[in-house]
Amino acid sequence: MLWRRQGLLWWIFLVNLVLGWAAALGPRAVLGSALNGSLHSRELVNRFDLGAFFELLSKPEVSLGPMIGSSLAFVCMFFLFMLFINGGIVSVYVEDRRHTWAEFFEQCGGFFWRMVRLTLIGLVVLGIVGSVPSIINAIITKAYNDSPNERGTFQARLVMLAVAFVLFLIVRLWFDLAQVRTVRDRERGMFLLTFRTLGKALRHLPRLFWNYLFITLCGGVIIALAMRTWLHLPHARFGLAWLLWELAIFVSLAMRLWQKASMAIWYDGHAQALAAAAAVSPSPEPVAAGTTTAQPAPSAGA
Amino acid sequence: MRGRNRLAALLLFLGCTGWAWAQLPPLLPSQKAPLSDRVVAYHIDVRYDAQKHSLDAQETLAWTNRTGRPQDRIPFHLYLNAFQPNSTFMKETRLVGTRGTSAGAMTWEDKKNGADEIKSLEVVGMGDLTKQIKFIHPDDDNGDDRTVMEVQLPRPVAPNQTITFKITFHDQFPEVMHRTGYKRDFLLAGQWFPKVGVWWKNAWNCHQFHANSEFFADFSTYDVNLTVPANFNLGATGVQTAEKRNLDGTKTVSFHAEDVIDFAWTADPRSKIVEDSVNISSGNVKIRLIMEPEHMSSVPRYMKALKGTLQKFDEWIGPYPYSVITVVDPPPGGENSGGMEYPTFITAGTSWWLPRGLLEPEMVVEHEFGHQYWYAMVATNEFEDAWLDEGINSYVEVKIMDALYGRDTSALHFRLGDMGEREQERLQYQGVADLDPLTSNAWEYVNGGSYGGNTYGKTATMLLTLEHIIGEKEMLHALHVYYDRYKFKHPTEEDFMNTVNEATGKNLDWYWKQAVRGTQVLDYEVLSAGSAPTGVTSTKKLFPKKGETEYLTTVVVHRKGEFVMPVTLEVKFDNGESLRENWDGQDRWHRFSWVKKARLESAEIDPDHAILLDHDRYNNSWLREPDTHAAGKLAGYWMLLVQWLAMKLAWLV
Repeated sequence: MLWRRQGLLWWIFLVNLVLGWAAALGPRAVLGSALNGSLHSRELVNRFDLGAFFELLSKPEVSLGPMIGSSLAFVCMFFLFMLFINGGIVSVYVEDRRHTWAEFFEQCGGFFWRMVRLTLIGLVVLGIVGSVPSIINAIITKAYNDSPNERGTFQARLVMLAVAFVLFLIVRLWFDLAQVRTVRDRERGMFLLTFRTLGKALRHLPRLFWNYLFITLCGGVIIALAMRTWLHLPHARFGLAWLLWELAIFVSLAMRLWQKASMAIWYDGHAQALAAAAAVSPSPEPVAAGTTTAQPAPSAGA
Repeated sequence: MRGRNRLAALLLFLGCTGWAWAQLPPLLPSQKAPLSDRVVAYHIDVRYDAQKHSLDAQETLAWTNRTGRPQDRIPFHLYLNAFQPNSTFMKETRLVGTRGTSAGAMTWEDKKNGADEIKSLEVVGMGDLTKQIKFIHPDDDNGDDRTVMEVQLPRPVAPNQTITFKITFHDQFPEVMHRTGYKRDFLLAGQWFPKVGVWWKNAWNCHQFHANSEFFADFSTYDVNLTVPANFNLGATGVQTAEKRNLDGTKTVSFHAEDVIDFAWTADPRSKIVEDSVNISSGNVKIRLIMEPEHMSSVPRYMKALKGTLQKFDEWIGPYPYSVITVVDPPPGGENSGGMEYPTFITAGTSWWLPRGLLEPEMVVEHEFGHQYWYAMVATNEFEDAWLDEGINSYVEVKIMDALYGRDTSALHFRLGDMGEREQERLQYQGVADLDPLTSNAWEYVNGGSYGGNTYGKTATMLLTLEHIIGEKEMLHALHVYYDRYKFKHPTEEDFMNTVNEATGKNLDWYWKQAVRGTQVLDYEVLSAGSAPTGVTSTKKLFPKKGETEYLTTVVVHRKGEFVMPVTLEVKFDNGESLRENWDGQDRWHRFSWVKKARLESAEIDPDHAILLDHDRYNNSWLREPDTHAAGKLAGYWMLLVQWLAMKLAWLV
């Protein structure tokens, strides 16, 4: 489905690219004023002399603060953009058909505030989940102070990171499922939906988690390959390095959309299975029945 | 038969003698003539309590009056008393920070408590003088500071007369801070015993313990017996001369050192000892690494750095006269005892995960070993002339690290980027270039950053620039002469500068005045440059022809800073011609001009990149055609970073 609806991916990548380009305009002008007329700048081209780089950063005219500030604004713009079009993205994958611009933006607008509410609830949950590794880390740090076992501490931190990774992935799939249900089932009570979705996500956790983990690992392998290739590129071949990392960003975006698409497919199949079971069963499952009746256009007749 | 028995006895005797000789430590008393004036002879018996991290000791101290005048007041360092809430060290640390602690970050905890308590003090022939002890504060008016005590003698000691002190004292070590203390079972005992001040420049020199300073002491002999739990591994200044097991589960290990200015030791039941040796012109030097078990993978890195450093010092400066060098690798949490020098005994620092491209362990070992020359033998006053030991040592560190690991890769060596040691020193200097002169007292720098940036970074950078002025060979020769002349002495700043002047045959006072005694910043720039056709007709101006049109080329070089230094300008023309011009740098600016049938392509001040004191190297050049590669590359990576961050943040949606 990701490939069938690849236009969405290219469009999001293009927005990401343009925002990145716009964010780099200011730094390019500032750095250019210090570097373009200087022979010393070649220390940053044919090799990357960290001494020359730090010296550059110490120049008063090359102030990092404003550059970071303006760039973060572009980062936030992309976040808001993704938040705005999220309803449209999910809708495209749920319905699995080409949308006109009008249809797409109608879906974006129609689900916008529900997506905002889900994101806010998701942030609260992520904050709570994220505090668990922080607490563990504080305990490890305290233990480290009195332990001569450096490797043990490192391994404990690795385990902590792995736990954090698993928890974050579960939260992500939980809220992705909630987004799919919002769009497919036209749900409105986001708070209640979040809790109901948690139960469903936990019941089907092995399947969903493996799905998300597999996609994440695919992305990880590609990033690792990109990193390895990059490390073997000569410093002067920056053009190639740039293309390589753009490709990596494209792939990473694709992985994220793949997760959303896979969730839409899974939930659709799941809902249809429940509906089919309800059709032959004398006492249908209430949730499945509700789901089936609220089902909109394309797969409603399944 | 008798004859055969005699022969057997003789062979047995020779065999035993040979065995005994083989067992003798390589440096025992009376095996060689004194290298120094040996002002003090210390004999200390120590019993260490590993549970309380404290010790009780009896010190017999024979001091010879080499001051040339009668003395009736003798000052002593009691530096463990620095680790008390209202000491000068603590007050300064709270105000300006110190190694491992930033200003304002020091909070008092009981485990930081350290103490050096005198139980009794007697002078042989003069009686018990415990009540004559008073604490003095030569550097400030802090009545709570107890790091220097003075003993008033009932009668003066005549010149060249020797008196013997018998001191009983109790030490409490702090949890590792500022180079000394314990961490779990590990102990690094530095500045732990009552030590006599130095008579220097016709006065007693015995400073309080400061946040940003190291130490100063006289050449002495040490015989120290350390009684510790039997399972502890020990290392110390000098050589081990004996070891015996005691019935109470302890052991007593004896160490002897001579012609050294301090004595430090370490004890740790977990450590592993690795031994090796290296051959230099003075003979075989034993290397003893006392390693944390988890850091064993760093052994080859330590060894390579240490052997290479010993050989380079031997080649460039002079032979290492001691028979052993001990390196202590501190445990996790005890890092603040790392990176410190004591005679024949240094502390390093590493971690099991440290990547090879980060040459921190190599640098630390190189640097601390270098202090065997610039501190332990050429024993300058680290309180008042910190740049002489730290700075000269940092300069030699750059030279040796460059020789061993490559000029551009001697500090960091990764695929992503690299950095030479000289750049690291330069970066330290850049941030504090105009804050304090090198001649400041160590504790009077504006803050810890200025102390470090100037004494290490600026001095190394200043000497690398000086090397450009006088030549590399001449520079190393001057250092060799300085070492040879002042080893086992206490030279001053003037001694160093005069020696360099004399050894190079050049009067460099103009340089010392600015680089050492001043805070002038060195910064030259190409203010403007360009070529314009000399013809007056508008046609020629509009349609210049390469190789035919004549141009007037001008380059204006500007001295932005107050530091005056002769500089070289290199200009390149579009016909491939290259010229170098010199300017004495005295005026604020200078205009160079040429009339040629070629246009200026580029102009560069200091084309050999040798004036490392130049504060801003980006303004040293001018290009006719802007070179956008570097800005494009950095902006490209910036763009990728923004895209990546944006994508990661959008993961929340």
